[in-house]
Amino acid sequence: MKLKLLAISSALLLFTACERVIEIDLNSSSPALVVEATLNDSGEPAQVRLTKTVNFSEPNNYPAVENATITLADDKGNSTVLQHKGKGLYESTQIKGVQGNTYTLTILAEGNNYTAVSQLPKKVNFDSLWITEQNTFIGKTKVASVKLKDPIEIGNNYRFKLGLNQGRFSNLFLFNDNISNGQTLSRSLFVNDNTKMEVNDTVKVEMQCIDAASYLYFFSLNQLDSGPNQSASPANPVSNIKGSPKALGYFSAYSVQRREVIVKE
Amino acid sequence: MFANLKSKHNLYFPSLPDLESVLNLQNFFRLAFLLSFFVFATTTFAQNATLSGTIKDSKTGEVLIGATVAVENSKPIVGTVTNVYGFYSLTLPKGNYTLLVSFIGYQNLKKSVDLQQNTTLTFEIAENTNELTEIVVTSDAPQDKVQNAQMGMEKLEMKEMNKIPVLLGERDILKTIQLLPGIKSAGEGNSGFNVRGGTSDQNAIFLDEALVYNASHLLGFFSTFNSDAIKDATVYKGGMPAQYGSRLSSVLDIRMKDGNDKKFGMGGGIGLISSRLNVETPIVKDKGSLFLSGRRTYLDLFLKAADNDNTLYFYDFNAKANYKINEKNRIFLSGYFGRDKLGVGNTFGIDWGNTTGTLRWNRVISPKMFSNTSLIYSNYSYRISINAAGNEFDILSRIRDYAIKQEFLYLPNPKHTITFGVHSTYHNIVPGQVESRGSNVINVELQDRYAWENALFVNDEWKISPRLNLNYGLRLTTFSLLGEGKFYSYNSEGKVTNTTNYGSGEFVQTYINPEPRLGLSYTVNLNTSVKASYTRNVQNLHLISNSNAGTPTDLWIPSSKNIKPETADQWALGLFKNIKDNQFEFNVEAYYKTMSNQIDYKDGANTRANDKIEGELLTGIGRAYGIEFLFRKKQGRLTGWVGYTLSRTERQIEGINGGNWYAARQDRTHDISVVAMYDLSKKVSLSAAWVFNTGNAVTFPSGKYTVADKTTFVYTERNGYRMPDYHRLDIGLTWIRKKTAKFESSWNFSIYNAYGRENAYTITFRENKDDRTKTEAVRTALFRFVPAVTYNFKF
Repeated sequence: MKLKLLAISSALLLFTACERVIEIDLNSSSPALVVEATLNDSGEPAQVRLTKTVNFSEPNNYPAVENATITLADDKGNSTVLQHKGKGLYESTQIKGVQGNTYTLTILAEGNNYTAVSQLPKKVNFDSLWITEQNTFIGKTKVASVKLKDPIEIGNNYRFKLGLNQGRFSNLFLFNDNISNGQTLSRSLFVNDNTKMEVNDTVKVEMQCIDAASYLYFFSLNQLDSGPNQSASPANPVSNIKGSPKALGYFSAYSVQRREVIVKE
Repeated sequence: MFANLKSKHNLYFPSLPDLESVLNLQNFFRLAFLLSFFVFATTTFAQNATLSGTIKDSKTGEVLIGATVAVENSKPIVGTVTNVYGFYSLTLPKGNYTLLVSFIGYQNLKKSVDLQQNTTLTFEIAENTNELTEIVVTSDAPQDKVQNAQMGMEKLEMKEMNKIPVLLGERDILKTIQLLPGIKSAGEGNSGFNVRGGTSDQNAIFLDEALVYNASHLLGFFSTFNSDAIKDATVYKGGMPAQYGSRLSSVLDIRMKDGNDKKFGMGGGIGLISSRLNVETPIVKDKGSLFLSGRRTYLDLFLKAADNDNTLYFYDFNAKANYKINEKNRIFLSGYFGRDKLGVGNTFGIDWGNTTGTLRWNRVISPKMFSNTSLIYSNYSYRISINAAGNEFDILSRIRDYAIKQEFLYLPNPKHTITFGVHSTYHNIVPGQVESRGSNVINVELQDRYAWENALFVNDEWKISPRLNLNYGLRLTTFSLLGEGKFYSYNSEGKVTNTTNYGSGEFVQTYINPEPRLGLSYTVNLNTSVKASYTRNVQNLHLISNSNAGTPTDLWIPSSKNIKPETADQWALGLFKNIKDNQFEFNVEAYYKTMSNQIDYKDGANTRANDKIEGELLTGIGRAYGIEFLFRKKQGRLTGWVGYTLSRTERQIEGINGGNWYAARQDRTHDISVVAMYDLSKKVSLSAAWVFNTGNAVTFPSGKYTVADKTTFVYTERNGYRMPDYHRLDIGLTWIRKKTAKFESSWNFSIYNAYGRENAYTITFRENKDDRTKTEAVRTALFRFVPAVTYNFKF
């Protein structure tokens, strides 16, 4: 429940709140390594992107880390070194993502060692995707909904990505079976910007089954979404990358399923 | 109710903290023994007689709290003060006396009494109708701040409160107390408050003795207290007497009006966003009365007019009845019901509110002994309704208390005022219960929790000598977490290591805590005193909320095996002065407070719908210190005060900020408030309030990166930044249109934030929408130049 949103919205209903871009003198921090590493079971290459943080006042150009040595290994004794494709992107097709396997990523970047472990969970069937019209704060809008049947075993974590035509929303849609284990889960993917779905638009949804560490990472990343404000005490997302000095980012091995639907009247 | 309780906890095999408690238990009895010694040692066996009774308002019959009866021209003063039920008792050597009865805002009454035997006497005093008449209140009133050992206490004058301008003209106790030093607003227009470095859940707010769990409406913009229904409000920032407890920082004791027992009356107000109406009537003349009061906002009607499907309103209802069975027995029944409703079409809805009920029996056991027995009920609940993606269900959450409180007031002689009693509360917490309404059943149940809280208290105000007063007491509290349910043990990473099942009513964990209270005052001269105090407070219910602003989905968790009771020790020193025949008052109080078992969350904590929430929490210590200045003008055409607080509040919690001390969110270095009321004429009065404070401590980013297609910010330290300074001026005008014995009407005009300062409500950081290579900081300001007009009437 986005209560903060509600709080501000109800205040907005009462009066027009006033938003203004202001200058704030923020501290600088020494650049830290950012890891974004993924592997899925669709045959797509394992990908690792290495960048560095910059200060708030600088433009959003994040320097790539290009001379790193990255090794990916599974728990069956296979391992491979990823190839640098340019701009800090490293890839390999030598190791395939297999459901149930656990993968270890080793990074040697700028003299520092990092490791990360992720398990590629078993697939849970992506049951259906459909569009309905619903009331939201911005009025009546079309909303995509998804459905799946959670298995009996506890500990399933899901992440959905929502795309519209050629674009994609950056919203993180996260569900787990913490309190609804073994049940049919259906959820609406509410988007909190003003983009509206029109008739004949193509809605694309990707469902990922992710492990608990990846879920915690995305969950804590999502908590930052509302930004630092009066109520929250923001902190960096809980990363599964181990090493020193601390790195930011994640390594997620996941199973993937994709569905599309055309918006009708 | 607790007959079948089986003991399975570790009381019999005390661990170290329990052993300490047991030792302290011995201290408790030692102290109780000493207390009885002091009391009886000072009892003189001269020929005494006791004068006792009630002090009432002559027009309405409403009993007066804190009114004074004193022997005229006695030096040192011999007198007493009425308790919260208007009862007084004064034991004097037999003889002839002239008594002076006085109360702020009332005309003094002189009465000659020939006291030869125990006498019951009811005094009725009249309100000052002409506000401009200079009333010289004699400075020898015992309730005077200078004269007693009580520190850290402020009593709100309801009349004064009604003049102070507030947001949207909704006069409000919680917003008015925020203008006092040491009490800080939790945010713009917010009824939540922080006392001496504590969080807003560390305030015990009692309405007719029932604890109000969430005292805010509309997400904090209004409080649950309809000022029409309030007779008296007293706030303790420290040094609270032993009969008060259960929260760490403060006590706000609010008493509802009893109602007019002489004649029927109605009153009310019509404002921009809400209206109020109250009715009072005798049940039997001079014996019993009924008071009813209601309030509702009508913002939703505007929304309807604007063809908007959304819902947003709240209402409150206060009711109180009392009946005097005979001169010695009186009963009261009071209740509060309030609810907020907020909805987005039919997709999402939430409603929340408090219900409280108190049944009381006052009994005058002897002229020196007064007893009150209360049965108390308190309930806070919220219900979220969701209708999306084919799911149709409600989530219900609730905390419910049943309590019994027995309190005795014993006045053996004018030197001692002794309060003692017991307070027992049964808590039932329903953290989240899902009720499905549709075909797609989601069957979720978080475990209910049960707890039993007890307090044994004794407090004595002792006038040792004309110059020396001692206020000392002890509150001994026990808190037991009860079954049934599964209870978890956690390792240092917050993972469950062990699950134990307990049956219904079984003891899971018990904590025993003594809470000593001590206050000492030394009167340097008639107008000056110095005071010192020490207070220990314990809190066993902890609020889990990622907000400081009173969101409706607050979750309370009891102390458990993993979560230990929060404790606070406060030391305070003060100087109290009356200047120019009591026209001015000047107080300085300095305090130092240490706190233990303060709660915060782990990074990435999931606090919603989580049965293993204790694994997501971190605990640590806290410290708060500061100095508060208050200069008040109490009489004349111009009244008001200037308050200044210099303070600091910090926390140290393993796992946050690298284990280093950091400023708590509510830490503000400087806090100034200036409140002025000026009577322009008999009919028109002006008022103004100006506040200034340093911004809250806040966490801002120190860098950025991109991950998962998002620009994300880097955080390096907790609360290392400050929100911008906050300041605001509110102005108001009250125009009494008509004032006769039969009918009274007035208009109240106000402007909130009169010079339109854009105070930061939030500061957020985001990508620039037009240039995605840039990021920017955005300040949101809420209220600027908010005008309000209210029409009030009374007949």
